[in-house]
Amino acid sequence: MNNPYGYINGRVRMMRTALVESRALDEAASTVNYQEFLRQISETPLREDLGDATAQGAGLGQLDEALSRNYLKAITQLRSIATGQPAREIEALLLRYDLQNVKTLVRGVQTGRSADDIVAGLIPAGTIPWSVLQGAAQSADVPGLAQTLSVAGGKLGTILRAAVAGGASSLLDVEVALDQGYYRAVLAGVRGTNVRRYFTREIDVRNLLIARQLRGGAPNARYFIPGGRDVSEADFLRIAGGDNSVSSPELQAITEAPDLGSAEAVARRLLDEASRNVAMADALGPGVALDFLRRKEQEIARMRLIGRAKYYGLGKDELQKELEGA
Amino acid sequence: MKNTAYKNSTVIAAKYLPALAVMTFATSAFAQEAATSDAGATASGLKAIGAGIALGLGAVGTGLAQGPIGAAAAGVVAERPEKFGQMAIWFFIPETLVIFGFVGFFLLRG
Repeated sequence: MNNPYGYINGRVRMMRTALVESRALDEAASTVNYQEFLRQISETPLREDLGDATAQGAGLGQLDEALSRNYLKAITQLRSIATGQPAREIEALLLRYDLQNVKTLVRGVQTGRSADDIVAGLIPAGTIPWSVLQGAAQSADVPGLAQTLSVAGGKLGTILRAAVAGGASSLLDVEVALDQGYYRAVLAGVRGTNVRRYFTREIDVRNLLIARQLRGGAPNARYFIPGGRDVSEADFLRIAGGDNSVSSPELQAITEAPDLGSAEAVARRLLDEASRNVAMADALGPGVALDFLRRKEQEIARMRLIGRAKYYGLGKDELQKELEGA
Repeated sequence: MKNTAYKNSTVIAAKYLPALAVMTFATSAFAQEAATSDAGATASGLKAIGAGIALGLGAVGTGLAQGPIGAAAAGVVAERPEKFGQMAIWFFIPETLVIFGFVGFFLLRG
């Protein structure tokens, strides 16, 4: 009766109308050069945050900064409108950015990239303070990174430390440990049935992608993420062993995709659909916020891709292919 | 989960109980006054009960409908103040329920 999501979702729905429309994205993608692209996006709701990105001689750094500013503003606004239980649920949804950021940090540190490069790939959202992420990017190795994040890196920092202490050494080991911890935390944090359904679908998709990645090697159940609905541990091992059949026909497309890149694109489409469904079915729950976060994430990712494509003069077809995978 | 549902239903009951009690007493007062004269007055007593129920339930229905609409409208207007007019229309639509109640009330009292 007295559901706080009535108010929150009213606001989130209005925030959703401020997202860049797909027509404007298409127009931005079909511009002839970078200057034209900047002119095009300065006519969208992003214009308020563009700042130095449109100045004479500005490059991709300024564009990334502007997009990050816009992204952070949206996330901050979303966090500011929720209190009590909804605030805790929205925090649980924001853990996905922590997950992505910690994975970016692990990859960057493991491959020896510079701190500036790593920071450029981070998303200015989530629950880990930006200064902590910047500090963590300076780490010399993964155990050092885990040590830094365990202090102020929230749930994911603790999970990373436990994984490293438990002997996770390869990138896949660490990433799966982070995924397992993340899904455990998020399923414990959200109570809405529809949102849970979305996350169980996401776990199934992630399990299928991991199983595909494991093909050709010895299938191992320790890479399985519990909590899914349609993909059991036995299915996971079977698919990792080379079998393509899944009980859900929609998920079958992931196992049958010709390569891992196409499988990821199919997975992304499935999850977009699932998040749209949850937003429609969950009018008085966190589903609307979940869908907004997903759409905002995609908007920024696509803008970054188009910006890069225009800056480096990438062909239209190549850009289209990149956008499909985004 | 069960406890929350139980608590919610208790809160709802506590919220609407006074209104229902007033409605019941008012209708029974009408009924008592009407029934004292003669046998034909029973009909007018029942009419009075019906009138009270029509108005009371219409008002309760309006309140129930306007709660979530009002919350959502407040959210929308907080983001876009220019949507106030549109939201006001949505907010006032459930008022028709109480208007129907009024119509029923006057028809029965007439």
